[in-house]
Amino acid sequence: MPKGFKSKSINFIEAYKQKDNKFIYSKSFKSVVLLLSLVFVLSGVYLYIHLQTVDQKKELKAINNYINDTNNINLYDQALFSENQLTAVLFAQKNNLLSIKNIMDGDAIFGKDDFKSFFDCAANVIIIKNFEYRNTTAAITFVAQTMDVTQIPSYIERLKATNLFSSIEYNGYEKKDDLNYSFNLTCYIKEVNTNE
Amino acid sequence: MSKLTKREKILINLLIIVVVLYASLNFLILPAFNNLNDIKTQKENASISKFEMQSKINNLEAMQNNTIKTQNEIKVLLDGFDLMAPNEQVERKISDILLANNFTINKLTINDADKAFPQLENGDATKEYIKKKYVISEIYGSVNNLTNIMDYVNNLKSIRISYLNLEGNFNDLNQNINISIEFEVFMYENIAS
Repeated sequence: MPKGFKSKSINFIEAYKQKDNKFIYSKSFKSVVLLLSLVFVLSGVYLYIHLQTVDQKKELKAINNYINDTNNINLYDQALFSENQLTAVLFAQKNNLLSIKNIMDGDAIFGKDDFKSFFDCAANVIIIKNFEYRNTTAAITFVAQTMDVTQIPSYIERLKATNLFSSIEYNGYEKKDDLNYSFNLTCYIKEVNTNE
Repeated sequence: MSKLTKREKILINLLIIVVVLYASLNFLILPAFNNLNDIKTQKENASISKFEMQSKINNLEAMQNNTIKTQNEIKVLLDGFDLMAPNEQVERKISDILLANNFTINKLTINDADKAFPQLENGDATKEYIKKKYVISEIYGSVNNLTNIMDYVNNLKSIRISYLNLEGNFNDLNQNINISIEFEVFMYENIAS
């Protein structure tokens, strides 16, 4: 360096930095940056929400298109009608008919052969009077007469042996006149469905 | 005019930030967020409707097949049942049975109350599919012939004997006696056969 020149270091970068730093670290710049950052963040949030909304609207439109499609509406109405018809009407009808069928199947009152077996038990020593049958109790009740009371137990045994009855109720006898003894019997018919 | 103090500047800056925050939140972000929530709710409701619609439509064919199957089952079950008939027709049917078995009919009464079977609690007449009538008759004939009726009725699907009373002494099955007999006659209505 020639003599007489005063040395002075020139550093533009340093000067620039110094200048910038001054500006950067100035309070008004900080405020502006803070404000802009805030606006930027808020805009980001708004944009995110807006995009989400657009996306949801698209999906909603697709769903509504399906729901409002005339063909789909017709099919849906048909399905509702079929379902209602099936569950509220047809199943009820079928169940009603099945319940009748079950009752009728299990409700076989005496047939001809059963009646004959029942009367054969009397074997000319017992006279049957006032025979009554009710399906609600599945019971046959009757008054019987005999001249020989010792025949009553064997008569009941014969009735039991027919296998027609689930149980037989007997509560003793009473002398009606010089010749006859009277007694009541209630016989419950086997396997009769009385659920009504 | 004097310069703003440092404290005042900070306060103005804070005010601006608060105003920007408040305005953005209140007038932009919150309404947008509420709008998004509304649309989400609408979408959820629509999705539920769509799911229900879709599942019903997907089941339509199976439902229709099931309907046809059930209708056929009902037709089979209806075999042997009569459509709800007026009393004169019911009387004719029971009289025919009794007369065919050589009974003299002294009295025949039909219970007017058509009882639904099973009895419905709400009493909705359109849902009463099976009804029963009681036919009470006083007849004169033999026990033998009565047993023929019993055999015949036992094979019917829609008639049963609900009460029987044989009066007097009888050990001879061919002897004619007075008999009270009650029939339950089941009939259907509101069913497309």
